[in-house]
Amino acid sequence: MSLEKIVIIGSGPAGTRAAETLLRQGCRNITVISEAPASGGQIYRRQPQGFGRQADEIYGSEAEKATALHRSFDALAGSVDYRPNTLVWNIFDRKVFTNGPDGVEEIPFDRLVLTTGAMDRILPVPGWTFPGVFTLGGAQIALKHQACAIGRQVVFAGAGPLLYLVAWQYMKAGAHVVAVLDTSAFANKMAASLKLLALPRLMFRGLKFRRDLKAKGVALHEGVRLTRIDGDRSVTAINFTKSGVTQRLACDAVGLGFGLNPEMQIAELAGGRTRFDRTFRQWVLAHDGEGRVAEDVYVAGDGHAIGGADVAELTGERAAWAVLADLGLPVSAERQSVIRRALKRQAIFRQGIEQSFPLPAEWLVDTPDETILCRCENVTFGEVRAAITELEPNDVNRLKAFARPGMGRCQGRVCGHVLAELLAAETGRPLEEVGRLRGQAPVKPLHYKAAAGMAEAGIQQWLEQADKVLENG
Amino acid sequence: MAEANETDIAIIGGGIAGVASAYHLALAGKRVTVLEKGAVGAQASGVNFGGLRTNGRAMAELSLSLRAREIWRKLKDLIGHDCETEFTGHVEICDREDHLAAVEKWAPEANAFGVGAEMLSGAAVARRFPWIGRRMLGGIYVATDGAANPRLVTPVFARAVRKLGVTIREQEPVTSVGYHNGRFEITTGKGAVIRSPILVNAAGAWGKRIAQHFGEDYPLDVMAPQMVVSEPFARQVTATVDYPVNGRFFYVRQISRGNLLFGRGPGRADLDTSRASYVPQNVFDASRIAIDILPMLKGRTFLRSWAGVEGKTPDSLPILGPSPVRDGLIHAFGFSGHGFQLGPATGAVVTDLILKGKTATDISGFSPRRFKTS
Repeated sequence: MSLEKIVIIGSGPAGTRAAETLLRQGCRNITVISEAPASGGQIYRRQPQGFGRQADEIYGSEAEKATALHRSFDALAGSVDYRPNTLVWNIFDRKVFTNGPDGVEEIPFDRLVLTTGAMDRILPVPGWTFPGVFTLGGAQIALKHQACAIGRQVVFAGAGPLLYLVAWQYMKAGAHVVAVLDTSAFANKMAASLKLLALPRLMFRGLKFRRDLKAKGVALHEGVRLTRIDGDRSVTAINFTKSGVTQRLACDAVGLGFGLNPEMQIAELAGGRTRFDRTFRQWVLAHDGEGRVAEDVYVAGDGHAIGGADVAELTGERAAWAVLADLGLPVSAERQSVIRRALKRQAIFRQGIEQSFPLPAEWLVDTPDETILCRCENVTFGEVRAAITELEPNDVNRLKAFARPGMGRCQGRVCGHVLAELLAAETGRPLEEVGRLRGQAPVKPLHYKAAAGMAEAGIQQWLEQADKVLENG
Repeated sequence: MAEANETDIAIIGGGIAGVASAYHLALAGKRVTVLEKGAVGAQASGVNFGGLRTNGRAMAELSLSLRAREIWRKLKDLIGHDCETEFTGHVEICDREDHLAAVEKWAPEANAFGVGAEMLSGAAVARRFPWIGRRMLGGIYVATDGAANPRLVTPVFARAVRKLGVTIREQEPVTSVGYHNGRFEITTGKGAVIRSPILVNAAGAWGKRIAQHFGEDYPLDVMAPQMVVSEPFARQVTATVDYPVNGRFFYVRQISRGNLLFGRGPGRADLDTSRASYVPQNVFDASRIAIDILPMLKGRTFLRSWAGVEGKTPDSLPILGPSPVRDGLIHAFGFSGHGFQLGPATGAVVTDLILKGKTATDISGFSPRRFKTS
């Protein structure tokens, strides 16, 4: 048994399996913090209370996994300090800083397990900020969570497995899917097929989505280049070129995405090391192979490197075993070895996915100057290019300081990688050399009023005393 | 083989003091090399509040500060970019008798220098700054004070300096400094050796380490200014405000694009990693003060916080003047959180000292000799 305080951030597949394993192996002082109102993460997000859809309507072929995960969490929730609806916005001096229903709190920890998930990776296309353009993940959540579609005539565009999955889910739900515009050519997938066969079930599921979409008359275009989204007050059409021919499709909503980026800001604030991964073409957390990323800090799931829900469950359990080993509690070498073998197959499959859906970053050098790069701060490609030319920033943080991209509400989670790609491309340097935006607290915006609740008593006394001075004077 | 470079003047430190010194020296026709361990203006010069205030300064700093105010007014003509300089005025507000008495004593003395400070009654504070949500006993206001964007100023200065022919070597930390045959010899992390008859130590928080190469040990501590910035909203806060609570100032301004920026320290800084961290208790305390004096913040959020590394002397005045032990060595460091506004004039003073051996600006309070260094 251990009474060391273990704080788990996230209650998706990784957080659930981590908590379950730790609890089962005798940890008795576990806190699970989640921004979401219920467990399941993004992938197995639950519908709001009172909604009556069946699991297979929401999760399709993954209904069984979703239900199993929800059950696991519900079974453990009473045995841990579970804090839903609670944002983690900083880590400092071995304390987690939260903002939840009871305001801002500091929670000290002995060990920290981070399962912070991922966010859509976006490449700005002219017109991408029109209302009606959603990320693929956002489009999926609207459907999964609340049974809403993002529009009446929807085009899904971009690259990655989510592209076909979300299009298929919309079609199944009865939405009108106008087309799927895949920026990756069919040849890329053929070249990757051997790797994808590492997980035949997943590969065939992907093929089924395509088949079903075609059978329903959804146009599938592969190897396209997205040139512009038209709109006035909201989206009216999307333009793309294929084999040199420009086409325009009328639509009232676009689901756009190019894979996912890990949400690493909290890990970074906790001292987590990062490394550039060439296969993913992105930064990931540099752990020791078992999830240890800094002293007493462990990571799992898409938040440490993109791998999907199955990998999240596996790495969540893996991180728990690492914690248990470090606590001196018994570990199951057998389970660890099962996890290792499963992750190996997953890794080969993931390489296949990356090869199938490369990020068309080469577009960015041609993106028009007037296109918005940072939507929070309204910074255009032209303004960023001017800062690159005039002030010669040596890395993205410096570029951010000069031209403001990444300074806004999302803290560069949307545009940070675009900024790096553009700086690398415009200066002819390798992507890893221009760095990545540093995580800064608060990870998400925080109300002054919430923060003020934690002020030391001396401040209140000063202000009260001031009132007295004025009354007398 | 070490690369050897001869120059008239070597400057260690690419902060605003070092780069502004290079600027004035280059205008006078000198060959100058600036050595910067990271990027220019990336430390205290780049991450500070951006305040350009003469209001409330120590008497010892006023001569330098007023010279700086003149240079800030001409910034665009000098370096080709205004770096978002604005002269919106600065007010220090008082809700304690002793504080009010202190500013009432300060005002006439400062005005003798030409600061142009104006005493305000509590009613005048309320009338002039209706967005201040607390009644005050009074305040002191300088209409010609302002602010600039610190992230831009030093890099833009550096661009102008390069155009004047100055060599700025970024990402080149100094590994050793010596003095042989009438020349300083500076070796960098890239293996370059720079030789010059004159050396300026403008290394900020690291200035103590440079001085130690010459056996001078200054009492320089490290401090970390702490900043918090809000989401943008329609501009209401039309002047920079300083407000002391429990002996530490809370300072706030709203930039023209709408973001509101406040600071209150102290934070935590590390000279070896060159990184500072924002201490969360500061944001709690500052937020409490902020929603009290700026009630419009009650429903709003802040987006970011940051901290910087800065050197602090025991009397919070810089170490600016010739080295007491080594001819040709000029110190200009330890600005204790006041160096941004002073920066352009510091460069002018360093240039005076090098070219004329004296300066018309009163820097007597900054003498390196005021500290026992060995």
